[in-house]
Amino acid sequence: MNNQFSFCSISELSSLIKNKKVSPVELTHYFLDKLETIGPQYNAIAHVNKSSALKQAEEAEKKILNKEYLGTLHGIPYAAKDLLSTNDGSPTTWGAKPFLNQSYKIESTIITKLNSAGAILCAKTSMVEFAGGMGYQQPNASVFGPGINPWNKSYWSGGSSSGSGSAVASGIIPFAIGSETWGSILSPASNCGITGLRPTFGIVSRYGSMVLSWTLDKIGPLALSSNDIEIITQHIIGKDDKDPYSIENSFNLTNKIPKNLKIGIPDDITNNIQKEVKDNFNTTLKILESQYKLIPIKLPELPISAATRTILSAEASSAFEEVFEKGLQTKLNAQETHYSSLATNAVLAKDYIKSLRIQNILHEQMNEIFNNVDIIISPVKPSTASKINENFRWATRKEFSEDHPLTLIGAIGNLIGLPGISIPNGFDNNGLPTSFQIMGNRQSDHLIIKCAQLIQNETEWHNKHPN
Amino acid sequence: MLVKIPNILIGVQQQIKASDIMSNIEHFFKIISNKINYKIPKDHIDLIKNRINGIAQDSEELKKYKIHNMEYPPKINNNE
Repeated sequence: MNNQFSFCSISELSSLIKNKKVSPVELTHYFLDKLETIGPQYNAIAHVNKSSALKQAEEAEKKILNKEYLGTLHGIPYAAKDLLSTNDGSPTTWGAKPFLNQSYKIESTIITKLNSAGAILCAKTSMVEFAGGMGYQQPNASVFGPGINPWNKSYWSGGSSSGSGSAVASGIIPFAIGSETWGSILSPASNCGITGLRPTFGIVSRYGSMVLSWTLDKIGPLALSSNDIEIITQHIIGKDDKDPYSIENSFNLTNKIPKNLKIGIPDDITNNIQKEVKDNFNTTLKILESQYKLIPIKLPELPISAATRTILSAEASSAFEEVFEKGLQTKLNAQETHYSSLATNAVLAKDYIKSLRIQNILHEQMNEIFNNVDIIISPVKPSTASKINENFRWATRKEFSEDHPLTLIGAIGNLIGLPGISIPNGFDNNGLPTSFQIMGNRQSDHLIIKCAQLIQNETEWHNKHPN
Repeated sequence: MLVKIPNILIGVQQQIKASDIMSNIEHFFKIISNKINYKIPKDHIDLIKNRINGIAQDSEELKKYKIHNMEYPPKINNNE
């Protein structure tokens, strides 16, 4: 089978389906074959949902023949991170060996929404065990093995949505769903050179998803372009009574980028980062500078990383209380987490509460910043992907300062649930993708997607794919 | 077989003597040790020390930032 449908945009595939040039069953067969044959090369796939996918595809095809067209996602195959429950009998392993046979009878709201739009769930994508909640320090922290980067198999695909990143980047699925508590969508999107959206906290329901942190978990899409991200996002947002943190959204497709768009650039954002990441970011700035105003900004001086880590640790220790009591974390791939993860139980209640209070101060201070700028941009990471057999670069405080604005941007976005989108903007000398992110205020998801579209209309990085 | 928590905490206390939160952390670890019944291998003790140290450092950092009694009640993610 050739590569005729790999790397096609959702719009292109949708047009083929709508015009009956290809059937949902044919398309599903094509991507199931890719998932089964190429997926293992990247340790990208936890489970191929073959029988349920083909059943869904047949139903989608019947609807097409009956002229019941559901919209752009009708008949489009997709994959979902292996922490999203499905009721098709397939396992939902959370990337963890003790849960290899775990399955649920409930269906995650996001899966229900996508399936209702006619999309075909073809696979669960591999992930870092417990979405990294145990404190892993190296890529081989998944029962499915380290996520392998399609651009260079000696490098990591990123985490914790490792398989979602490598599956989309390798063209074996048009789009995938990931989750982010602290970096788990933007990091694999950046490592793999694709586009990933961390939505505003609460606008995408997390019902049916493994909990790492009630306060910080977000679910969002990874795709080939911001145009695809826009299509997917429309279908996955919405208030859901099954998720008590779910909120109404103000996603508005008619919104346009303001003519006087003001772009905030954090002071010292490119200090002490990889040269190519810096150079490519500066090139991106030049594109924006020709049309919009760039404004230097100073990020809030609060213990942001400490507060984010404290909330994450405290909530994870509660979410995984049973895991700890049964000692199941000692069965995980990442040996460094087997016992050190117990330390999360020692977070003091006063520190957890203080962190929640700091979260609200940060909301206030970021609102003040967003009174002066519409979006903030920065590189996603200080460097490109880590080697597959090494501990993470910048993994310790000594190597990359906690106070570096790049660290703060990630912590700010996750601590108060601001939307962020990762966009590829070039390569380093090893041929690994570099990326930058656009972050907006809460509920500005559509604005940051539009800004990403603006960049991607003028560049070709998102159209470059691994051989 | 209970976890040998006191051995672990001796090292941590040496690293962050100035911290006044250690007694609380020790207390929490005693609670944990009552809940779990597997033995911690010796080669993991430094990893645990590092994590506890990180939590203690975060605690110290949070402590430095003062918030007035009447300001900023916790309100998760500002959700209305």
